[in-house]
Amino acid sequence: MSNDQTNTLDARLRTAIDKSVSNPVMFFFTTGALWLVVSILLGVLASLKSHWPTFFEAFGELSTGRAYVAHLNVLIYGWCFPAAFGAIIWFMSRLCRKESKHAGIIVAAGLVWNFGVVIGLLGVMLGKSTGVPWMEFPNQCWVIFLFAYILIAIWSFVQFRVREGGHVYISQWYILAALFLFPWIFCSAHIFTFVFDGHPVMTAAVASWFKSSIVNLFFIPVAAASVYYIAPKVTGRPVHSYSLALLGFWTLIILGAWGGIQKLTGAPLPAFMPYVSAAAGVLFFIPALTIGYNILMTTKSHHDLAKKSPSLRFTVASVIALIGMGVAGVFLNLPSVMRGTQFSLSGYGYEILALYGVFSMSMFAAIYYIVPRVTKREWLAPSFIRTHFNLSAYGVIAVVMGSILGGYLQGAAVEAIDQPFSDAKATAYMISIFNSIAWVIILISNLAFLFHILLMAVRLGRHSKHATLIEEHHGSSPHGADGKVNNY
Amino acid sequence: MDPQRDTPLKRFGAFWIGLFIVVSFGVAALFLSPSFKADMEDPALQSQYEARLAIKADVDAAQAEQFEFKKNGNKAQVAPEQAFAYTAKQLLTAQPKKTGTVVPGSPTDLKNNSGN
Repeated sequence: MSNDQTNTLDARLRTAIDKSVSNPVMFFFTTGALWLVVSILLGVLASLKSHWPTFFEAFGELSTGRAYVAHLNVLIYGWCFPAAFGAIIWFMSRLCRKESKHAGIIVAAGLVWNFGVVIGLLGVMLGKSTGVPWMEFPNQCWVIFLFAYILIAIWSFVQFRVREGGHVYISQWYILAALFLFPWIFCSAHIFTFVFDGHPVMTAAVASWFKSSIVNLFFIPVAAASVYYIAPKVTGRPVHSYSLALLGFWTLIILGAWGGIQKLTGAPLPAFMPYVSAAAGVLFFIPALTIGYNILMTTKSHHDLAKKSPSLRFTVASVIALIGMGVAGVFLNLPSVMRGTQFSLSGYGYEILALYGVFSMSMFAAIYYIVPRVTKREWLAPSFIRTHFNLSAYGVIAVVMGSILGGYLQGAAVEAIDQPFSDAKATAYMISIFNSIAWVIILISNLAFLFHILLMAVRLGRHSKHATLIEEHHGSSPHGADGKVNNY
Repeated sequence: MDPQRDTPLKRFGAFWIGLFIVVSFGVAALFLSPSFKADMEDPALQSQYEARLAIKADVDAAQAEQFEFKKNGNKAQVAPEQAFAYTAKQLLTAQPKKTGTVVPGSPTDLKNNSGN
């Protein structure tokens, strides 16, 4: 078979794969974007109420405690998980070179998942939250989520088992790990917290472990899968070092399950537990730096491309945030620092760095790469993409730096027992105002993103053979220099 | 495309292997659960619980007694929610009583101080 014939067959296979996963992928990305905006709105509200308590005071459902809880849980279960599902489905289908034969079941399961998020959100707003961090949705929701997850994720494993023979890609390692580690973490945490009649202190330890593990063993692997796919694809270069990729993968998987319990330093737990977790938190720097260095070296001589390509730009931002997360992990887990920051806003800053800075940025990169391929349209407006990137980057840097550094100052003020407590209160007050402004900026960026992806979902994108680049001018036609091209 | 790799039987098997791996975590947790049950039968703690519960019962009874209706000669003790309306009405109809307090800067204060 000649090269041209091989290329044609390959292109047809890719088109068939994209068509088969188009509905579930667009469903998850679009509903995820919608929940992201809802979550950020709740985040703005929670942040405003922390320094302006009388804002909307007539509505008890919108009190700080409920709005903050709803903000975090909707961010995780409404945006992060659906975005991960959409990316996993597309990456696995493409890498295994298999069409999806169960798009209908996946979409139905996605509807069930969204139903769970609605029930959870209403439950939290009406005061029925469980009070366990990151598991605050009412008790019944986790069963709905587990059931929906099985029906969404199992087909990706089936595709992997029947994949065409040959190399297993780095992205596939991470996706497979995430696919099976998630039910382990989710089942363990929920069963030991809500089903078994265990000791309450153990429940607190399990909840802390859940928060850390779900980030390190699901969200970071999916983010890594995305960056390891997009960076080589866009630059046209292979990954810089296969050995580093192996090192990054195994250190993440081994260290990822040990963290979280450092939040309970001083609790009536065996003394080694929080300090082992803190050590794992410090050592997280190894996989973070490994993955970050590998990807940055892969894109080293393509700075121009990183400026123009939305996917590559978001990918680079995500890996820089991952390296930052490793550095923050070292700083925040030192015993001398942990003493002050344990009950401050630093923890929130670290969570937002992980969920938005690392994971969400990598998902935006995946979405900007995948959506044109499944919808057969190019992104409509480079200005929307620029707005989305710039405001997201500035906003998340502001929230993270403000919360982590401000939280450190807040903790130091609390620890200074010879100074009035009002000093710590004043520091926290300033951080809250700063965070409110930053969240408003992030809200604007994601409203632009939501609008843009909704236009793509209804197939109002550009008909063009050329990808939408950030620094691009369409010329006389909105579809580009070639005019309107039928991509069917 | 290798037809040997992608067969309905292989897909069927992969589905059940995947389902088993996912469900096995929950099953393993069920088997491990007896070792994680909190030990509430510690005899040393049990005697302390009983003493504390007895004290709590005494305190609860004493407090509940304060809310019961009791008549003592001309006076009656009623539950707080019954007294609020009556007390509020009394306060609204009560006239301010004259006291010996002089507000600084008032005409009385100035008149008193002008003689000094």
